[in-house]
Amino acid sequence: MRERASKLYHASSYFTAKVLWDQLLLRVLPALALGASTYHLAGLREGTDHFLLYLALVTMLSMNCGCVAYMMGACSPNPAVATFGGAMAVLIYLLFGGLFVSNQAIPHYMQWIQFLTPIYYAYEAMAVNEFDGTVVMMKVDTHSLIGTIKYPLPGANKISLRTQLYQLGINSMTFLRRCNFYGDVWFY
Amino acid sequence: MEMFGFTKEHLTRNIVALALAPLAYLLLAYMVLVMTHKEKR
Repeated sequence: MRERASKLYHASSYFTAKVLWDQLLLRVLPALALGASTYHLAGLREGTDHFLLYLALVTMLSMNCGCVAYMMGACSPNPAVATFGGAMAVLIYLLFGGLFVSNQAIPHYMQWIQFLTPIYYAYEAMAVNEFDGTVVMMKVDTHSLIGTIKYPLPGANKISLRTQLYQLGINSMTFLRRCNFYGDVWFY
Repeated sequence: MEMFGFTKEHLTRNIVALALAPLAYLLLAYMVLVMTHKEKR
């Protein structure tokens, strides 16, 4: 603050330096470390191209959230308003990101909100990255929703569909709603 | 993949959106910061 008051540099210089170093040290590097360490632990798809795309998506999502925080901080008159606005933005992002609530379950007069949500774009891109070219065939007992799923999981035939979906990292209700909606999962 | 309603067109769109959105946010933050900034003494 004293440097600014002494006119040692302009506000744009402060903004540029702050953004560049903050993005690199607090957004890019932690996201890369998180993505690189969890990708194989979570058993996600093999392949360098899928891995690199996943890292890029995690990094871009982290940068998006950081930039949204900058914008809200710059637009807010004081820290209390910025904190409240940030919390509300996080709640809206989580709600419309596609993970907790299926997109088809959102009333269509509110579906435009998901296109303002970075999590929605990243979630959908990660799903495409993970499941592109994957054929899922399942046998479902319609009374109990217990069945089998043909996916390269060891011992997958002896556990419930819900457990297998959790192993695949899929929210089972979202998955089943999407199956019903799009109707191109092969039930037999 | 189509059973989830996802296509490669969505993948491209999502990557472009994720890449460009930070620039828009930063530009808005920059404009607000620089244009509304007042010297405090």
